[in-house]
Amino acid sequence: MADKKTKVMDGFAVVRGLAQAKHDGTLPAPGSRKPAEDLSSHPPPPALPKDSPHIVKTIQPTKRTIRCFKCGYEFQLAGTTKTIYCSKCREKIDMGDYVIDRPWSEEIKTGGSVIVRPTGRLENVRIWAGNVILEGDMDENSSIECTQWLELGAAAKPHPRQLTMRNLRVAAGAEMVFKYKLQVHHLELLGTLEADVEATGLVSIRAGGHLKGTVRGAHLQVEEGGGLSARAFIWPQGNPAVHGDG
Amino acid sequence: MANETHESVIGSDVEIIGTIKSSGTVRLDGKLEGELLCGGNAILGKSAQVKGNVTATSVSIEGKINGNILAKDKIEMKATATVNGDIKARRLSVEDGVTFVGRSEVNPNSQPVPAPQPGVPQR
Repeated sequence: MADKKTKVMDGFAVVRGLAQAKHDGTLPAPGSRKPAEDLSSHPPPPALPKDSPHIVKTIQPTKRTIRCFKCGYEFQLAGTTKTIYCSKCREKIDMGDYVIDRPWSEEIKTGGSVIVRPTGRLENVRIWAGNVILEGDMDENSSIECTQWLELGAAAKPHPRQLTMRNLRVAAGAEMVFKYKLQVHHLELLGTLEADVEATGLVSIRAGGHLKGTVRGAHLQVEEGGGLSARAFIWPQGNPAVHGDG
Repeated sequence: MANETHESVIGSDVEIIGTIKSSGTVRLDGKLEGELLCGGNAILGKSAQVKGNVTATSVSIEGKINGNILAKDKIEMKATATVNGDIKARRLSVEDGVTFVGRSEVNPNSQPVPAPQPGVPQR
């Protein structure tokens, strides 16, 4: 047991191995080693393309902003679900999508979307939704309140005073007249809108869109083919008269 | 040679007080206190500063204008543009970031705006 050779490579074993190699003539002479290759003359290895299959990407599902109808708390939701509970007040929020293609008088409260088809008509009903596409008709006793986007279709006959929205999109072919001050975050025009607009986000007039009236805000974008017949007050840095820096 | 377009360039170190009239294209990078009447295109660079009206076939703005703009065809406002005045054209394109205070009359479906008279002195 005492003479059992250990396989530990200590300093003494290295020196002994070198001496043995010198004795056998297998040890190369000092300076006979091949010099280190100069890598500076070589081009760097080609970088892998960004969409290389070797790079694993994590695809995140699109997130939606949900606003609680009870407490008004806003939170993000990724993916789809039928119902969800408010992170703050635990209120149950329906996340279903509804399509109305006939006269409708039943209240809807959803964090999802509501589409009112041209054949649909809202009669004495209140609609709360995340997004609403209004292509049909609504009577003056009905109201729409959406926490995100409201899209007015070409055939829509809305009562502007009964609409509450964060962002507004006027679809191509639609001609809307809002006789009161329209306060929105983003406004996207593919159709015609006559209004006194006050926007906190981006007012975007796309090709075929036309804005008449007044526009106040920080950001305006007009695509070629868009029309603007309005008094404009566009200050990306804020109104200098209000901020007193001008 | 007959179709050769002439471009007049006014550098950023040039300051003009008066009216500029041209039948061709004018590129302005300096300061102008007065009118710019242009039969071709008017290009106002990032360093351009104009106090006066601009009339041209098409106007591209990257600098600052205090005055009205009348374009026969198109007005193009780049992101760095600052326009204090009324604009009138047949076509308009505005990039996000512009500062614009004034009245706009741009209707792509309307009749063309009356053409400016380049090089003809206005009395």
